[in-house]
Formats: sequence, C-alpha cells, structure tokens
Amino acid sequence: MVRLGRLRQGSAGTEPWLMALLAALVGVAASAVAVALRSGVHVLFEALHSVRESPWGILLPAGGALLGVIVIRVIFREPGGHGVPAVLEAVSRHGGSMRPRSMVSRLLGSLINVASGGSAGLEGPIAFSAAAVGSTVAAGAKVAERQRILLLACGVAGGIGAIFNAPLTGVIFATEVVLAEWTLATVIPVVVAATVATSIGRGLLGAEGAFSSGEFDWDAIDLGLSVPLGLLAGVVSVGLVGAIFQAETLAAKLKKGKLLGKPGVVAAIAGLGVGGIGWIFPQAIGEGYELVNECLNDDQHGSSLFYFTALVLLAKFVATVLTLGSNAPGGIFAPSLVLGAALGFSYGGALDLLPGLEVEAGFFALLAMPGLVAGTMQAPFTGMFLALETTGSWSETLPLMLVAVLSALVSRSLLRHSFYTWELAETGRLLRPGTDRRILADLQAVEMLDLESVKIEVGKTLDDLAKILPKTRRNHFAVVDEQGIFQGMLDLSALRAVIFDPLLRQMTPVDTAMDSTVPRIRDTDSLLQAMEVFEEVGAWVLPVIDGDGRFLGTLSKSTLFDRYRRELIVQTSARAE
Amino acid sequence: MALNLDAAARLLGVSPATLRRWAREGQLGVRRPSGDYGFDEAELRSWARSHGLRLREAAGAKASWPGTAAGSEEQPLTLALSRGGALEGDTGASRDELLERMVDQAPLERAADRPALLLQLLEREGLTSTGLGDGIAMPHPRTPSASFSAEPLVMLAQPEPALDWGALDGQAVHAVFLLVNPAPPVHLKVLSRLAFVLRDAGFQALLRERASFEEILTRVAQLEPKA
Repeated sequence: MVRLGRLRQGSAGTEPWLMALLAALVGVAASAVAVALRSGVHVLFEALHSVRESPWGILLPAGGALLGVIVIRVIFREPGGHGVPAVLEAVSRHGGSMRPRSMVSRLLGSLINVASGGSAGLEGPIAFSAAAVGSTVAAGAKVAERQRILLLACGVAGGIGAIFNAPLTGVIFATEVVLAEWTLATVIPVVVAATVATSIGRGLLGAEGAFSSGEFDWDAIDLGLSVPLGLLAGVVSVGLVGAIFQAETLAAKLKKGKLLGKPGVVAAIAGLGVGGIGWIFPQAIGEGYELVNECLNDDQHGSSLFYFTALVLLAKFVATVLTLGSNAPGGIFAPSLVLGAALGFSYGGALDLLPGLEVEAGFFALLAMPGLVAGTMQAPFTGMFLALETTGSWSETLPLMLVAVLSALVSRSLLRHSFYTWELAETGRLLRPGTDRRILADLQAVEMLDLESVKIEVGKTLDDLAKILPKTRRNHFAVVDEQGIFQGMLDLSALRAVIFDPLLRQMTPVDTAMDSTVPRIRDTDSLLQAMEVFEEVGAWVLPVIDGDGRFLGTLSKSTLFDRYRRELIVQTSARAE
Repeated sequence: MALNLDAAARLLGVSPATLRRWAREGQLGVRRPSGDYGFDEAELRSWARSHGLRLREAAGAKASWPGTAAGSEEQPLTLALSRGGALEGDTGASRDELLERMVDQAPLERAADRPALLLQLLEREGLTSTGLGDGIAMPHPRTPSASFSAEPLVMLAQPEPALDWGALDGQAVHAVFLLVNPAPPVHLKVLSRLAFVLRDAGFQALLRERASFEEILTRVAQLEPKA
C-alpha cells in the first residue's frame, strides 16, 4: 500500500510557502519603489519644462548629472555606477546583503539625472533599489544567505515588472542576469514577486505598455531581411559596450586630477556634451521613448524621417556613451531600446529606398529593440520579452526571437563579458553559484586546518624532535617562538641526512634546519588564494597563521582535496528549499 | 609554435590522457580533433588564461634555495672544503680568537658582514658547544644565510696547541671546521658528510697528526663518495 507519507518524504514542506509569502511582501515594496521612481521622473520632467525650453536648457543634463552623482556619492556615500553590477556583486560576494539606504540612494540620483536629460534608463536604478528592498526584507525575516539572494532577485523581478508593466521581463531578467540559476525553488518566489508587483504597478501607473506599436504584416521576405539586421544589431551593441568602457577608462584617468576628482565633475562635463546634443536632437536625450513610438508607428514608406533617424541614432549613441561612460546614474535598457528602434528604422528606411522592395520601417524598428538589449546585456530572453511586453507585439515573436539571438551570437563571439558583468568578471568578483571559483572563494583556510599538526619551539634541537617522532604520523613540523609566532617549517624528508646521527641531532637547533622562507597562509585566505600559493611553490604542506603571525595549524594538499569535494557536493547537489 | 600532445599536456600540468579527453569533450573548442593532436602554443596559453589555469613553465615552479645546485653535487663537502681552504698563520690563544681569525680570512662574499658572522658564531657556541668530541669542532652560524656565502664553504683550522671548546667530552680541540652555508638543506648535507668522513679512523689520525691541508683534502675526496 502506498502511503502519503512516502510521497512527502524529501519534499520541502512549508519552506516554499514561507518564501512565496516573503516574495509577495517584497513584490509589494518593490512596486512602491517602481511607482515612486516612474512618477518622480514624470513630475520632475514636467517641472523642468520651462528650464528645458529656455536657453539654459543646454546646461540641464550637466546639472542633472552633477546633482545625481552628488546625491549618491556625497549624501548617501555609496559608490557610483549604473546599479546592476553592484547587485551582481552583492549576490556574488556578500550573500545578497545590501544596505537599506540603497533603497533610495540610486533612486533619487538617477531620477534627477534622467529627468534632466541624461541619456540613460531606469532599469539599473530600479534593479538596484528593488534589490536592496528584497535584501532588507530578508534581513528582517532573518533568512539564510541563499534565501536572501533569492529575495533580492524577487525585488529585481518585481521592480522591473512594475516599472515597465512587464512581469515576464522581470522574471527573466532576475533569473537570467541576477541569479544565473533556473530551478523550481528559485522560479516560484520570483514569479510571485513579479506578479504582485506588476499588479500594483498597473493599478497605480496604468495598464498600458511603455510603447504602442501598429500591426505589421510581415512575410518570409521580411523574416529573411531580419537576419542581416540581427547581425547589425550585434555589431552596434558591441560598439556601444566597447565605447562605454573606453569612456569609463578615460573618465577614470581624468578623475585622478584634483578638481576633476571631485564627485560628479566628470559626469557634469560629459553632461555638457549631452546638453549640446540635446539642443540639436532633443529626441536623443533623456529616456527617449517618444522616438521609439514615432519609429514604431510611422506608416510612411521611405520618408524623410529615415535620414533624420539615422542622425538621431548617431547622436543617441554618443549621448549614451557620454552619460554611462562618465558614471552618471542610470541604466542601459532604455538607451538600448531607443538605439534599437532608431537602428531598425534606419535599416528599414534604407531597404525601402532600394527599387523593388517595399517594407515597413516600423517593423524593423521593433525587431532591433530586443536586438540591442540582447547584444549589450548578452541576455537574449530579457531582450525578447522586454520588447514583447512593452509593445504588445506578440504576433512578431518569431522575427523578434531571430534578431535577439543573432545579436547575442555576435556579441558573444566578440565580447568576453556583457555590459553588466564586464568589470566584475575582469576583477574576479563575479562568482556564479555552483562554479569552481565560487566554492574556492567560499572556503577559508581556517576551515581546512590540520589541528593535530606538531609544533616545536625555537632553541630545541633535532634531538628533541626525534623524541616526539614516534608519537606522530606527521612529516612536517612548525617552528614557533615563545609567543607562538611562526618562524619556519621543518620537513622530515629534508632532515634525513642528519636525523639518524645522535651527535649531529644534538648539535643542530631546529631553527638552523628550518625553512624560514616558506610562504605562510592567512587564516582568512580563501581556498582560491591558498591553491595559488601551493601551485606557485609546489609545496605539499604549508603553515597557516593568524593576523599576529601566530601559528594555527598546517594546511595540506590532501586535506584540501577532501574538503573541496565535500563543499562541492553540498553546493551543487539538488536542494530542498 | 606548434606543440604535440605530450608537450601541451606538460605545459598545462595534466596527463596526455586528460588533454586528449578535454579535446574530445570539446573543452578546448568546438571541433573534434582527428588523428595527430597539434596544439598552437599561443592559442593554448590564451585558453588557459581565460580559464584561470596556471601553466607549468619549463623551469619548474618550485622555488629553489640558494646553493641547491651545490647541494646536489656529487661531493659537496670536498668542493666546500677546497673553496674554504685552511687558516694560515697564527691560530690564536682561545676559541674566540681563533674564530675571529677564521672569519677574517674566510673567502666570503664581498659584501658579507664579517662582524655579524662572528657574532652569530659566538652566539651559537653560547647555545651548546659545537665541539663534537674527539678534539673536533664544527662552528657554524645559527641561521644559514646566503649573505655570507652564496656557495657552501668549509674552512679548516688546526690550532696549536689544542684549544678548550667546552666540548661534551671535555677534550681540547685540535681540528676546527668552520661551516658557512647559504641555506638549511645544503647545510644539513655538508654537516652529515663531514660527520661521515670524521668516523673514518685514518682520517681522525690525519687530523691528530696535524697533516697538511692537501693531504686532508685528498682524504676527504676519497672518503666522501662512500657516504
């Protein structure tokens, strides 16, 4: 007879319910953050209307960038940047822990920057703020680190879902970019948070998508024509990410100067450039969603708008590089969407100029939007669902998918890392769950100590050592002084020449025979750091010391392997959450 | 430069079988190799770098002690003794005077801090006497250091009359071997060789008779290979 008890064995019990409940709570809070940010930008944008129309308008982006950076760096005392890498670092290295004040810092900073015309979007700041919301709820609920990371991702999913009225995009972004892990245990809470947050967001911000697009009548020829567009979108994405990093490198150099090193000064100077661009092409600055709508809804074929859009594309590119490259607060979603729309529209317009071809430029504008997102973020799903949900063009799923995946393909073949992960990965701070680097970084030397290791004091002779030899199976001995401070290491195999001669034993102090140059490992060193030392010197046993140089025990390669294996089993096997 | 399977495996620090499996599984690239495995060294290096894999360079990763090469010589003691030579002239009236003269004459590094060496030798004697018994002493600094001599060095002195060394058996010392070594391993090696040679009755007789340095060195060279 099958009993229900058997079926329930090994299931997660009430834990998933608890997580879902917390996720719903995070969703409510995240939607509040999203509504505040979206309405804040709207209100401030309207309030600045008269300034924008005046001759002073050209200075507005510079002022916004300066103020935005000052809010984040000076008032809230947080590092700058566009937000998402900071979230990834919190996940990778700090167990999903973020400061509660991060809930508002980036929110205010980017609100000011974007509303004043900085060419950036809100997904970076919303992801950052909503992640901090999730982290804070997790801290309040006193859940473990893995669950804290999950709730942080719930915040991201909720925030993005609510602000773009795009719940699926929120779920996909949180899983594809933030968690990099797809399991039932992670998907349920993330979906709950996105559902709750987006429901509230729709109620308060309206149920319309960010964009409205016309109906397109596409056929196999259009599908074929979207192949080159996908590749082109990939190239433009790579160009954009590359240019932003070049600009960041330049900005980092400039910040070494005395005046330029002050927070916000470099961003303000770049903001002057943005203001200049905005003076000629007002469509190219700010979030720039009007341009997207114009492109999506243009029903004239080969109109003069085409030439104009090609110029705006260039202007938007430069404005985005200036804004994001100078570390003014803001995200890359919105610029990617706008650049994509302009690129696709120019592409379609150019095709339409060819004799015998009749295409709708708006169709290609729609396709290139996810193309750019997929290319810059190396996240094709996020790009696809973002475009689908914000435009409602579900009948164009197939060509959208094609362009997104081609762009991601080009980006992956030319760029090692995405816009988000670049800096973290290059500095070894991106540690995805269940990977070798993650485990090596988690384990500390102090967890792998051989506590039975034998130590002997300075001034004792090899004869004293020979007396303790029968009582131990160890081959390596630490030499310490009266305070226990590590002095050197004795390797029995190196003592073979003298250890059997009683006279020599008596006349050789341990400190004459010890290796004092042996590298020491700190108790707080990670297994990764310890492994590097082992590799470098080719040793089998190394001493571990504390901050004062006191000897704590030895670390041997064989223990290392054993502990690593155990950690691997725990961290990579299926979990019941 | 092209590398064959064995050389490439050595560079990566894995067995050729592992490298072949990696190639088959597609860890090295999409295409499955057929027939002879040929690896482009530059490509392999950049692949290893992108995976954070440390390469085993030809020189060998192990940090080597100073004087390690000398320690692996067939006859480190003979070489060290011929390098150090014998104390010439007056041998002094006490242990400390003798040591002072030896330190003065020893062919040390140009920049060697001779007073520091003398201090270390006296300090070591203060710990326990280096007088082994049977009229032999082996003074040496407590911490071997390449700053005194980059190569192992043994210097002989034959004090006349024999000197009090505080030896365990109370005997006065007539043969003094000053050991100055760059590092612990080579020090232990030279020390053990010297102890071996000293066990030879004929050699002990030579020392007692205060034979010439040439005779003693010849005898050491004959005895050492048997160690």
